[in-house]
Amino acid sequence: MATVTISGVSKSFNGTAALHPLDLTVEDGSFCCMLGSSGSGKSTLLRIIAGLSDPDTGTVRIGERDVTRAPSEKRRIGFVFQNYALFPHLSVGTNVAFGLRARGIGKKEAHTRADRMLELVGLAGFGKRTPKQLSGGQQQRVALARALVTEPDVLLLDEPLSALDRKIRGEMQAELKRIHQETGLTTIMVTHDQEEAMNLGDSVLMLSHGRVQQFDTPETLYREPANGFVAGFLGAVPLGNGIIRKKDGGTDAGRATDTATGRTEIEIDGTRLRLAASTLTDGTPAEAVVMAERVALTPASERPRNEDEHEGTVTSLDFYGPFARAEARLGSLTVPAMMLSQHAHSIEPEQRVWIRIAPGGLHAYAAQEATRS
Amino acid sequence: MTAPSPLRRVGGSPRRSAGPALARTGLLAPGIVLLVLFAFLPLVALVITGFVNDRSQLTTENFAHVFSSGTYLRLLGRTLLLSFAVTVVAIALGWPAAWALARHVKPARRTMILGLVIIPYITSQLLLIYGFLTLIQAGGPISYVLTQLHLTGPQDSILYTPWANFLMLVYESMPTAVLVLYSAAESVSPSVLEAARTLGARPRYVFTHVIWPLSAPMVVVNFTLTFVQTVGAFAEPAVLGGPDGQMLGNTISTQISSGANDGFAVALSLVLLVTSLLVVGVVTALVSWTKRAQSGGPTNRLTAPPRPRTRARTPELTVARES
Repeated sequence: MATVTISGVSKSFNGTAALHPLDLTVEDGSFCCMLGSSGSGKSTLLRIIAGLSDPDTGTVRIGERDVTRAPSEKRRIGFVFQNYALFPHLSVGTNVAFGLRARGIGKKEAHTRADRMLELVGLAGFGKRTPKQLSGGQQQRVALARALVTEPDVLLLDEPLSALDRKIRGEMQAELKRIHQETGLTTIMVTHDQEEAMNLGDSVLMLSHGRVQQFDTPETLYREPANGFVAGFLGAVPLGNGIIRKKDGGTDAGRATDTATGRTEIEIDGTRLRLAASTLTDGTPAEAVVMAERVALTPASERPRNEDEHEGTVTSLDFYGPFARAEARLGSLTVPAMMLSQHAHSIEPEQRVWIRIAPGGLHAYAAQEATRS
Repeated sequence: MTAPSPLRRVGGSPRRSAGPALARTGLLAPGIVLLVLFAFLPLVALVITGFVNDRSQLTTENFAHVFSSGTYLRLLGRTLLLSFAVTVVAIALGWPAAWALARHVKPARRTMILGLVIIPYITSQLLLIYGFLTLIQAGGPISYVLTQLHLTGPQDSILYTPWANFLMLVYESMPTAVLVLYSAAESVSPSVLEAARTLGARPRYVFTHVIWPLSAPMVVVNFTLTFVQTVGAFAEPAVLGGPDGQMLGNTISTQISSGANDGFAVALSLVLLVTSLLVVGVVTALVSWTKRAQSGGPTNRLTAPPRPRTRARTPELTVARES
């Protein structure tokens, strides 16, 4: 078990930068998810940690050891591949025992330990089968057992669940969580699925175009996305470009009666919307993004409008099983709203509604920053 | 291992249904007819010729002649040994090339290189042999360069020695080796190799325990194709080999074209056929033995799945924990 420390690591392929120099520390025993879309550099970084790819610059340390120039086989890592990468010519048990046998441990002991590890991943008694006889989820469990049996210092997972179907993915997430808790192993997982990253990670490293966008706990990432890219990746929808309006509890002329102090708004095409805390200064051009799940629609016929609500008209309503997604027109803006389907029965197109955007659901980023990558 | 598993394996090979039997027959028929007409029947005719003498009597005298003659047995031994060496050298040269081609060459360039590899295939064999002859003869380009470098005299050449024959046969075997081993290299997934390394296996261990067992079937295919083809070579030794480079193939060819004794020539062919099949069989067994030995695990014992204890009263259980 060990802390993984990456400093100044960069990598380019054929002159194109895949990773800009970056630093990262994954604490001993923690579960770090590297999140990003394809081409973000997340897999490149994982492969560099594993020694499957050499960094152009920088160092990789596992615990106290500088492993930058060490080959994979000497790093004491466990690696799980997206496509399982089981040895097709070996039985399940021999697959799991491989790492022990390669280190010169006797056949009998290796197989005993392999069987114990298969038990841990819920595949007791499967040792004599061949990988082909197992389902995708089972194969990935074998791959996990194979990586764990050598008692590595760090467990590296490269999109281990993305080849599995939705239901099994959920089960495997729970399994990974349980195994991480039981073993206390420093774990780094690459994924493009933000729910998976949020669910599993103690911390999430958000990457885009080879740069770190944000490195935080899942909760902070969700509540305070550092920039438009992160917000967008977490599902926020662009609302439009506007100007930041700061109000310092009454200095704003004509609105001296406003009870709130230090609140920030964004003005888009004449519509003023309250923002989550923002460091942007008054008058800055900014792009606003909204999280649809933090928008609430109430039919205007139900009750009078509250002060923090805006008047709008429903333009569309779509059902996605347990969830429903509506869009409402607010001045010239289109505001998305996500709700539980059971709450959508009172909403219908063309209806007049009160729109409430929770302050934490509306973020603004300086206009050029929103498109930066 | 404690496996009180009542689970029945369900993975096995899919059962053939009777429905497309007609289609199967239809598809196989042309091939079968061809094989019977041009391979099986000639072979029968060959066997008959070999065992029957001029007076239409059954006889083994042709074979007795083969086995009593030191000359022909030595020739047989030399042919098998030479073919074995040619095959092994071709595989040893072809494997790294095929591996590099499959792993380290860009796809576009790969197609071009594979195209170039095939050129000897689509060139007349005699043309290749005489081309090689011009290349290596005294006063030819190679001889010229070596002479200029004072490495050999102007009249030295390997032409008309067993070496000329050997090199030509290796050269002719290369396309097969590269193509077959290329597909072997492609069948070893890169992530499986990476997995082996992350599990602590050094390069040598990766080769003996992953690459070799996964490639062995194609190596056997390669061995069979090249060995069988080389054993039957007759033009190469006849043109290039000189007095010491003769093989059984061109001896048989001479015997038949001289018309002296067809029965004896046929006996030689049959002996060559059987012994080369034996060599192929032994090599195949040897390779699959090393493959199993290196795999180490109980894979090979898997062939007999545990029988269900009772006749299937319960519906067949599948292993799907997760479906």
